[in-house]
Amino acid sequence: MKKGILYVMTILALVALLAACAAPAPAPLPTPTTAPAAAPALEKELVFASVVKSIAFNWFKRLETGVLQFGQDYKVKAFMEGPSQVDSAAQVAIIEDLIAQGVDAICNVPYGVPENEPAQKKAMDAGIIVVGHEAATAKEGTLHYDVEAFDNCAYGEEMLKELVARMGEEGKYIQFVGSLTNASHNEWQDCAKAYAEKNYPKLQWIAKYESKEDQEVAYNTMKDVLRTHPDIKGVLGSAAGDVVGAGRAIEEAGLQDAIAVVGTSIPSYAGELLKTGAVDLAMAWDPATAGYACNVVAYKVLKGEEIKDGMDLGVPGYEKITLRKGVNGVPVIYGSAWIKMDATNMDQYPF
Amino acid sequence: MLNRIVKTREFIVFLILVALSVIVGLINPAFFSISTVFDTLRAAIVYFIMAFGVLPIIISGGIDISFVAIAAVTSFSTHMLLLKLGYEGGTLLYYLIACTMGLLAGLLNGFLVTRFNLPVFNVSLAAFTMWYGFNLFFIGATANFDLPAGTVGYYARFIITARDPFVGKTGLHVSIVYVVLIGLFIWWMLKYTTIGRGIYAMGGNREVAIRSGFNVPFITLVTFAIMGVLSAVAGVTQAFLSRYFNPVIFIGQPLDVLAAIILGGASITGGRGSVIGTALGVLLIQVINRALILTGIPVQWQRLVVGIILIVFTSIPALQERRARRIGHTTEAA
Repeated sequence: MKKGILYVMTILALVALLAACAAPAPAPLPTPTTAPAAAPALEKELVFASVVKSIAFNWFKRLETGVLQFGQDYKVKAFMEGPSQVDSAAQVAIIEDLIAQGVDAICNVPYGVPENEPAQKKAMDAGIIVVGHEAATAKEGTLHYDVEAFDNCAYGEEMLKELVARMGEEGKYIQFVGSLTNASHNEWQDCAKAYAEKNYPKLQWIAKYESKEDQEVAYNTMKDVLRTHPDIKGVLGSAAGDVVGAGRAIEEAGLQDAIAVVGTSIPSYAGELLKTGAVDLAMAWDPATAGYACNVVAYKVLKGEEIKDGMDLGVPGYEKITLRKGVNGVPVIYGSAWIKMDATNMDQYPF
Repeated sequence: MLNRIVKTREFIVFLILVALSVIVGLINPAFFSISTVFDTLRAAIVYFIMAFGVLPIIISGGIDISFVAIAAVTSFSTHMLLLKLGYEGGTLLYYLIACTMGLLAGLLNGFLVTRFNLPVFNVSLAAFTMWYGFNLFFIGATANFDLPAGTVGYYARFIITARDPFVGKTGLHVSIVYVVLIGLFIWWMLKYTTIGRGIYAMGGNREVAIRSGFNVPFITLVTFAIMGVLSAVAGVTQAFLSRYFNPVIFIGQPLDVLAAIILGGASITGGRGSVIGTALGVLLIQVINRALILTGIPVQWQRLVVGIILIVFTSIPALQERRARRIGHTTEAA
């Protein structure tokens, strides 16, 4: 029996390996002989890989469009990979594969930041440029840079201000995070909570729940929250499905006018609920521009360009970046690229 | 008669379920409401169906984890196909197409197991990986929220509704009917058909089952066909309950389902297990999950607490059985 499992696993591993090897196979097209003489000697085509938490999310599909656009604009081979399920171990395995393939740069969006650090460091040691996204708390030396659409703390505070504008300055509220080890989610929510304690003392924080990035978990949790705290007035969400799950429970309870729901999400997830008002406001950044910016930073580092505070990356929302050292030492680049979507303007954001 | 019932593992699991519910209810009286019962059942519906589907395989001595992947591939590809065709009707066609696919997928597992004499678990591991991969690669990697007009509102089609003072309107979802019918069918099949008796015989001792004239390959195929069809039912049902189709639905859940079956008294090495026990096991896991939120146990503790409860609760029946064996009795098997 044990031998049998090993056998199947080995075959699966071999198939995966074959697939991985097959990917970079297409050789760069030979340059036409009529090319201008001034053209630089044929270099090896640069390969930029982006790794995301899971490819099974519209969010990261949108990020992929930015990655592919970057590849076109900068004339490099750029692609995106990720596990079929949010799982740090699977993500690390993909990074290890990319190191073995010898890519030039990796833009990584880690599910659990600490779990991804050793693999990122290994890639850097192998001479690969590694830029993170949603990983501002990474340890020094595990990323060249981290790119954030905005300062997480400011975003969390903004989310809370929007919530207060809808629920009033007193009452109970809860928070959802995708996972308790997700750095960005927890920073948004912890800053929102700190801001509430300082500015709205009558707001009562109940709990921070983990949705496991699964809207069904958020839905069931919300139902029990309604039961345990019938006077709940506000919900903050972090993962794109959090407000969808919570909003569905609220809508089915007929409480969409009594409870304010504000959180990170996108119209393809929350659209229907934004229209009915079960979700009041979806906040986000455009993952496409974030993916694009992440690769641009990697490109600049690869070409030896210095990243400076206030510089323009040439990407919408990243025209005047802020450069700061992250809490654990990684240099973090902040844009100012958040967007707010409700029933009135959601059609402008088709993702 | 009563004495015999009291000694079964099913009864112990039932007692644990009651005890846990009482504790949770004492801490948070909101737990004792009809709407909580409805919501718990609603969350449990697909787990009941999947657990009933895989139970015969477990009893026959195999372990399968591919049922979640079959649920995902059948529901998601049915949806994407009907979406492409512009289907605007109700749920019935979804169930028909998905169940046909599920039947074929289950039979593929069964064929590999019987034809090449491969271990059930190995085949299921391969099928698990393959079907999720198939979904992501060939069908589409993103969740789809576009439901046909005829199925909109199905998520809120209730048999009885309850007006809860806190949660508002909730109800007993119609798909609970499927659960009851499926449960009765599996119970009947296991207890009153030759195939059912053969399933227990195979799990008890495969050699003896073959020598006593049971058609073991045929029975194996039947168990896999049942698993495939019921996985498809679970996948489609879950998609309509949560109002979206997800290519990786249930990917993290096979162990929850197996844990429920084992909590309910089935033996992982086969030969023992029942529909009632499985249903109680599914309910127990649902109540444990809800208990944490209702009692306000910090979320950071959630996984640890679930793990500890599982260890404690699975060891109680096992200890009881050991004691019974020591004093010269055996607990009732089926």
